[in-house]
Amino acid sequence: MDVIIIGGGIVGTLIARQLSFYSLRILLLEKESDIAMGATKANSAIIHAGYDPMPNTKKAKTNVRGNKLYETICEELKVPFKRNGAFILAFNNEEIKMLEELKERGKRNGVMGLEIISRDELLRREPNINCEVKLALYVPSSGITNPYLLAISALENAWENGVEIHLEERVCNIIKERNGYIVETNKNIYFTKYIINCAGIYADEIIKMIESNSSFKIIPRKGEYYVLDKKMRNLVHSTIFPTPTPISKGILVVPTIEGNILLGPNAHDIEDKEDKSTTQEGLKEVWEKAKKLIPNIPFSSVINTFAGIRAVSNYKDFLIEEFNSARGILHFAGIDSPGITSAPAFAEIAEEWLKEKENLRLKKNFKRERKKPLYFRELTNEEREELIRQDPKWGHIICRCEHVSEREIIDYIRHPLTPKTLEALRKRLRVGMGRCHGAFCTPYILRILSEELGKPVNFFTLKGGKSKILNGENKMRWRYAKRD
Amino acid sequence: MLKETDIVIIGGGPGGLASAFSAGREKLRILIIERGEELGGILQQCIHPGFGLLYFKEELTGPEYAERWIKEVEKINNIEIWKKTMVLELYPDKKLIAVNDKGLWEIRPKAVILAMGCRERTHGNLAIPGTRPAGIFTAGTAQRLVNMEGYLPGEKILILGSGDIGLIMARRLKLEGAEVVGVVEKLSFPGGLTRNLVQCLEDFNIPLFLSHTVVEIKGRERLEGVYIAPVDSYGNPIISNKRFIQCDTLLLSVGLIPENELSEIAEIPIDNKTLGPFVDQFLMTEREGFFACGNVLLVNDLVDYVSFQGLIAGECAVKYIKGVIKRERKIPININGNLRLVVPQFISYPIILPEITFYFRVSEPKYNSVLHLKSGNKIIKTWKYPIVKPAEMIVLKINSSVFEETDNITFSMEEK
Amino acid sequence: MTLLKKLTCIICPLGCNLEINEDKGELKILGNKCERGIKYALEEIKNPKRIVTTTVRIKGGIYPVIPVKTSLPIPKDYIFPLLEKLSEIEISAPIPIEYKVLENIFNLGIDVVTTRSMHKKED
Repeated sequence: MDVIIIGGGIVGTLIARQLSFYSLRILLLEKESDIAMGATKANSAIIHAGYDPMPNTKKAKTNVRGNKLYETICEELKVPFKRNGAFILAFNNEEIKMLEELKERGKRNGVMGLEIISRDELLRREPNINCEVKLALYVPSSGITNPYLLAISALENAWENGVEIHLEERVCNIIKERNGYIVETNKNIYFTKYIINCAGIYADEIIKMIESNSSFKIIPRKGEYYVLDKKMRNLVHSTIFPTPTPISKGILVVPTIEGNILLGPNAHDIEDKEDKSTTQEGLKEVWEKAKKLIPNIPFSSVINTFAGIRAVSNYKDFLIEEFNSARGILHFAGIDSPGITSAPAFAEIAEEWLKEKENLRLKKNFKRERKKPLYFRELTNEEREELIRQDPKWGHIICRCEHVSEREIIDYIRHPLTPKTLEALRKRLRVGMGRCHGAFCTPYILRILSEELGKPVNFFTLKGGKSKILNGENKMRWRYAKRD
Repeated sequence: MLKETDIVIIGGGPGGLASAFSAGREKLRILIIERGEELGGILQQCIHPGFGLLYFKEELTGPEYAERWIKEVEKINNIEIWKKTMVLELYPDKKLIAVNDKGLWEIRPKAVILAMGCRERTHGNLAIPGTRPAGIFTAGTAQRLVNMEGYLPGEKILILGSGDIGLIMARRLKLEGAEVVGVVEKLSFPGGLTRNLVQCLEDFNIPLFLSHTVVEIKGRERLEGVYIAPVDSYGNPIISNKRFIQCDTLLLSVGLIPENELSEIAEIPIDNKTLGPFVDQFLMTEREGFFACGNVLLVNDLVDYVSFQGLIAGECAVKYIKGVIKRERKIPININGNLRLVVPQFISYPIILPEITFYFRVSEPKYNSVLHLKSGNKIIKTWKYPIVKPAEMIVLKINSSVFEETDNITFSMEEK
Repeated sequence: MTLLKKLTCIICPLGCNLEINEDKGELKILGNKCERGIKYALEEIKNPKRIVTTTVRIKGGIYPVIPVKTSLPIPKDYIFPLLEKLSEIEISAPIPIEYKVLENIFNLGIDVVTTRSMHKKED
């Protein structure tokens, strides 16, 4: 291998894609059953403007650069993106002072269009905001997207350009050799010239594999969210922030690109990196703080909750470094917010880094663009009619909440990159993410999986490993009981 | 592609079948649009008895009840049935767009009967703290998996919610050899019919934990157990008294929501008490030419009522097309006291039908109640109920003449 | 008087809480508000019966299982033995409704019949 990328989140996949344009043998290793299973899947999905990080930090520079690149990347990869703007609300004089500070900081970081607007103007644009607000900072360049869909699309693009991808493969050891590194995983051993560490909350453990004396440590910080029904889509149109605190941008009210609303996240450090549970107190905190921004949120509109884990580190800034003692390895570690926004900038940094070391040649016929997948729900009636004429399975709707057809489900199951789990289909197609949350479509999807893959219905899992959907033995326990 | 028809019935379950049957007796063209692979709706997975006691005077299982209606409907020539067909759009002017494997269809019927049934409240709606492992199902999904796909959802099962579906599934899973560790109910009284409490829980010694709820879910990949805790008089869990119950499956039977997404797109006003459309005695919604029956109108506890509603909706859709129904004025049906909801919510004049069937649900269980029908302040009729329960609908057939001479109707329920 | 069993009557929605007591060799029912309750209680203590509904495996049909029921209520003690017997059966599509999957189970004069028809699965 020329390059092994450790970690299949937004950072690893965008880097893999960028490097896939060149004649390199690239392998991406992801320890979970699918890519984008960590922070990339559980976040606010905001493309930040860049007023928040301290000037001249890596965070500030990559944030602003990444923000500029988002339109292009999303167009090339056919992923939705919208600059919906943001408002940071101030409710008292101290907070108003903070708004001024953020405006100045933003300007220094190169953020355009920041302006303080009056309460009346704010309420005109966003009538549901708490009328006790005093002033707001308007951030026009703030945007929203679907980060895990972006990661999946980037990886598809990278794969089409020849990148090899191994799922459920975890790096256990890295040994320095003369001209490169030996990478040991739970399944294999590889030799590679270069390594790029994008391992999210495990980036510190990867660093420890080669720099055992490193003091760098990831402090997992949990953030909990509520998801509201699409019926609430007119609650707000821009992203609504409170004035930030030292540890987080605060509990927000964020529209998602699909039309839902997110409330959250809170911020609490945890011990266990794998603890993605929501908590009673945490959810209560999110609800109460969100109501301070938008008072009239009916609880009946809640359709889901989830928690994400930020890879906060004991360093103040992003760690983007090649250590002298371990040349050939580029680390992207401690990537908490604004990580998703910065990821396209990271891809450029990785590309530049490699260019300095190797004479990189662009591949012949590499693709920057991904073919837009066809989603029944996005097509016009004429397009639908035409597709059904070609293949009747386009007319058989399986997920009736999100209008997903049998054809799309089968195609994704057949795609070599798609893990054969329910969760993987959910991320790619939105099956089971609508009002009924899979209550109606799950039995049908299990049947389709069973027919396509020739395995019994109770073979399939929610997200790999032991997460079998049907835990009971195949019917007729009495038969088995009698045998014993 | 265009499809010509007179009446479109959205949904081929018991509501749709009954309305097709009564509308089909006239010579109008009727089209049933059903998204599943067969007619019968949810009845096909309800393999337990309890259906038809009122309508057929026999106790049937769900599939048997369905098969009787399906056989009748299939005999009627002017009823066309489209299966595996989904209505994508519904417009206020009754235009519909539907899709199936033959293509996209534009249909402009003269009347539409809404019979889409309901869906279940989900795990996400409850916002239960904890992890999100595999092994959490709504009771209806589990029912389909067991009764039609032939698979057990798990081996050690806890059920949240003592509604009928949860109770029925407790028994079903026990019969299939699973261990059912209990049913947890947030309220201080159970939600399902008494006969189900007896024949599903008591018969099998399955414990019922009243005034308790699930407060935390544990398990990373597959469910490992849940914490349950008692609730106080406000319904808030007392977390300090939580205890762990080991289980690998959690079934949710926590409420049904009428499926009115299409109705809302067609701008049909929805009653936030029934979660179904406002209707009059014709079961016609506030938007003319749209009728509703079955669980999309209000959640029913007996399928027999669904059939009765379907028969009226079908009959009245025909009357509407023939110009017999003229809404010259209307009055609301007021309710108070222990009455939580009523269907129909208003009466249109001229009444035309000889009698009006009213469906009520009460807010709280009470002994010795009286239900008064008042015109203004004058009590016109009284009914006595030794016991009323939220889980058991009250159904009254009242002669229409009672409503002719009044413009202020109130039903009120008090304790004697 | 000794208490033998407590149960809830299901004949009408009142759901009286009944007590079955034994007094000098005779059964006494307490808690009922009507005669039907007594009949129900006596049945429940002497010979409680239930209709059993379950599914049976079917080959070649549109679903892998088909719902069945006992034609009459069977004594409770026979429920699980019946389920065991049914677990060994597999029938083949097409099957009509009311098809007798098992006849005269345990010599009770009761059959197990299908509650729906199921046609063959078209490929």
